[in-house]
Amino acid sequence: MTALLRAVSGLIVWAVAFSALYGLQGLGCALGWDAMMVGPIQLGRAALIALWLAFVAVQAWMIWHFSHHTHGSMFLNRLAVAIAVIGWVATIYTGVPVVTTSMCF
Amino acid sequence: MKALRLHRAFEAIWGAPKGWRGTFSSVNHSTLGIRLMVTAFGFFLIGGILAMLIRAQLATPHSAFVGPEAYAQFFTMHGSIMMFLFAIPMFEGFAIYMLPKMLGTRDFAFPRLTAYGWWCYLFGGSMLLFAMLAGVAPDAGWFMYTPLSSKPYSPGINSDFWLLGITFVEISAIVTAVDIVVTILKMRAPGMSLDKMPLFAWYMLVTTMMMLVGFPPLILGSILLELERAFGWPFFDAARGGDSLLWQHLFWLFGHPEVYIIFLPAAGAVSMILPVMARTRILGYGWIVGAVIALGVLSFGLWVHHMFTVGIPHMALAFFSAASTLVAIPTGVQIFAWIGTLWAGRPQMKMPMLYLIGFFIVFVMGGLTGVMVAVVPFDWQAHDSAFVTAHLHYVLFGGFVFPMLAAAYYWLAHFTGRQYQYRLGTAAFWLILVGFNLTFLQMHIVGLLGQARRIETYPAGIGWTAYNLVSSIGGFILAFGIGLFLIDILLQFFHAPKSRRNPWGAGTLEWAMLIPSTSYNIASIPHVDDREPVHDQPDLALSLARGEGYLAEPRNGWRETLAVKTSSGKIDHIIVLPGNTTLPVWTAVVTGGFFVLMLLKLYWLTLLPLLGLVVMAWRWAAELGRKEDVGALSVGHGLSLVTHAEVQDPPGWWGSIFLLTADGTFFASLLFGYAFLWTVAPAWPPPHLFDAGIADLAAALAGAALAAFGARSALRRLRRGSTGGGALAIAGLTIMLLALCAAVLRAPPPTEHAYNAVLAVLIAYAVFHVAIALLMQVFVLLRARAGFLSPQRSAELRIAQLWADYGVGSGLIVLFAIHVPALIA
Repeated sequence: MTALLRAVSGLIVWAVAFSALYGLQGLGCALGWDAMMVGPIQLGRAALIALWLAFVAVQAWMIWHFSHHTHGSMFLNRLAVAIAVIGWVATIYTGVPVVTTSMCF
Repeated sequence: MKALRLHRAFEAIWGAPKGWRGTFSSVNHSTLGIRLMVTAFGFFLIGGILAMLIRAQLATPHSAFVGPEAYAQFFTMHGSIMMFLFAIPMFEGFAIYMLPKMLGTRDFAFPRLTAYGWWCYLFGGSMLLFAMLAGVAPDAGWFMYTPLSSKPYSPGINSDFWLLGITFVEISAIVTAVDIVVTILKMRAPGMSLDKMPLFAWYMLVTTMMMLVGFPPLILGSILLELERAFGWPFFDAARGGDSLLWQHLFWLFGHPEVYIIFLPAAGAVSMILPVMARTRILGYGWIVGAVIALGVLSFGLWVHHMFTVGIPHMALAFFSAASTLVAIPTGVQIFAWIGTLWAGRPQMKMPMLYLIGFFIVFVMGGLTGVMVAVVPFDWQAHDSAFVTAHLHYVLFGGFVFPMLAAAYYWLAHFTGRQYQYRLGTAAFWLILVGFNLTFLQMHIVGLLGQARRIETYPAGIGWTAYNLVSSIGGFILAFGIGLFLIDILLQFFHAPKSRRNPWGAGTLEWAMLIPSTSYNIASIPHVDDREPVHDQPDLALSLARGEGYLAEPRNGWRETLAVKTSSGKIDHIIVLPGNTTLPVWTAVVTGGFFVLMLLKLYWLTLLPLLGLVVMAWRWAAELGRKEDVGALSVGHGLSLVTHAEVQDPPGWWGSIFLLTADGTFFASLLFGYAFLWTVAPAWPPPHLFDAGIADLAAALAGAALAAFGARSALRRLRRGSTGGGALAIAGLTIMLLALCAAVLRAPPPTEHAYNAVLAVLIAYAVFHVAIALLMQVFVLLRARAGFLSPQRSAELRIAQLWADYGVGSGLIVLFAIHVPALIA
């Protein structure tokens, strides 16, 4: 069972990242972080970018880790790497709005 | 002769009594699967008649066919029936019938739950049908948006029928999902590692996990809305701190994954049928598995695309728009794998293949319009128009009905034992394909011309008339096609000649048995070394019937089958399944009693069925178990294994894990609702915060620690041979329950503000779970004293520990969630 959970963990981390970004965006808007500035950018946007990049980094590490450490059958190992790559791409793609769109309008 | 002797012996063990007694007591998966499919098809016909009434109304402008009140009931019931009473039960029924056969096992992990699910579905569906016949059917649309469905705007009983009836049916869906997922993970033929499973099992594994995570938000939403309607708790009433958008979030958290929950099993059927029709093996097995998992998880990031027009900031819109376009990729991977399989093989144009071609054409068109509405600016134009109606029908009819029709023809011999004859099916196919496209293709255009969905009439002279008339004609052609399909299928049942055992030359295990199948599926269980074992061993069916596999000798009248290791498929232990019983139907009756009393607004009396359910659940668990250790028993081929009663993680333990997964999602959705209202809803912060009590919190913490320690200590002592049970855990849980009851006494009145109402639900949730954990600890204590537990037979204690941990964990989270804001303030 742990081998199966490991195999799907790349996308589970994406789900966590996606929920966290959506939640932080809502919270940031509710707390007025769009009006506070950290240097040239809004506090809310800075927090979102930091969170996004943190998840991208964690998922990049997962790809490396699953590629170099095997657990269970070859099929599940390959699946773990493939799902980790899918999750990483999904986090990058679905997180792009943190740098391209308005935060609270 | 040995095959015949085994057949008679197994039939005597696995069969059901004749007559009404058998009808009410059977727990056999084949019987229940067929019942589900037949009932679901009946609902499909009813939903179809409602669709024809809708099209009759819209055929011409200013139609006087029905008034707006009846029309609102038509479209609400059409959508609700097709989604909840047709599509989900149909694939569940198919999976219940077929999965054990494909996996090489004899039944489901929890046969009594399978039967309970069927009865709940029948009773819940009947409640909705009764409402329709009584003229009080739900009429607020199949997604029941508040405030339209709230008491001030829907004062009648109509919406209550929907909320209570659908929740009743959802209970069936949840228990069936647990049943299916444990069966797939634990009850495959030995040797069938995950990468050797038939693809349909992978699809169902992902689908059922999605159900366990996707359905609880809807159940929560329905409970909250019913609480608001019945008792005035204002979760969705903006004037008292609620927010109607919370309903939309909870509904679509379920509603969008639901689309994939319906599509994936059908796609699983495609992946099974298509290679056989192409006379080759499926191309890209691993790619398909990856794509299905990706689809299953990504589909949970799409729900807000149903809410693009409600006024959400651009960034949030873009998150969901990106995820909505992304999901097209794994869908595309599957389609390319299917096209590649056709390319690599030698396709033959048999009936199933015809419907698969229909599926390709219609579903791909629906997928493309799906990408269009995933893009925010386009959605703003098309939202709530007939374009969306057209899109969803292309996806659901194309992605579910066409593959299911292909499946009906492909597996028909399995149900009838007869070979396909006559050519009516071809005519039916063309009527369905042409009728469907005539109905829905130009609905895209009339939608873009401005026709909103759900309107009951429209003026002449605005350019919609011809489109609607053609749509209505198409709808009736489609209905003729479905009628012809039904006649064709009935003809096969009664007039076709007998079929040979594996008429398509398929390679999967469901064809390695007698058709129509027996109650026990296979006289012995095979060892599997390949994804298509029948291809490797063409005489496998005969060999299994002669008892050359595992568990070939009936023993003690037990319903025996094998459990394997989750991933590797290595043989693990023997599962002894419960036999026929009327307990499921009586439990469903008592469950139904609760819902009926809620409908009749006899709220205090609902305590009676709740108490009845406790008694039933107690009996349910008490019927099983043994007072002595049996030890290892022979399963054939020189192997001896213990039974599930003597292992650490029997199916009941796994079932609890997955049921708690669904329960955890319910709880997380409730916490999401709390956070959502706090940050987004108007009229927050609330006028009065909870009156925090440090003493209660400290008592609850102490109780939690005692309960967690006590449950573990009982298990440790049992392993050392002491059967004292968990008195400490009982004491800890009782303290926690008292602390929660103290919180109830200090909680502000729930009708005043949404904050108060959410607090009341949170506390009720915790009380309920701690009470369940307490009841289970008392149960295992009594069982231990009665001699049902031993160092080998410790699983009941382990299961009770799971629930104790969950009760303690959720109780602590609730206490912190209600205390922390008050303490900070």
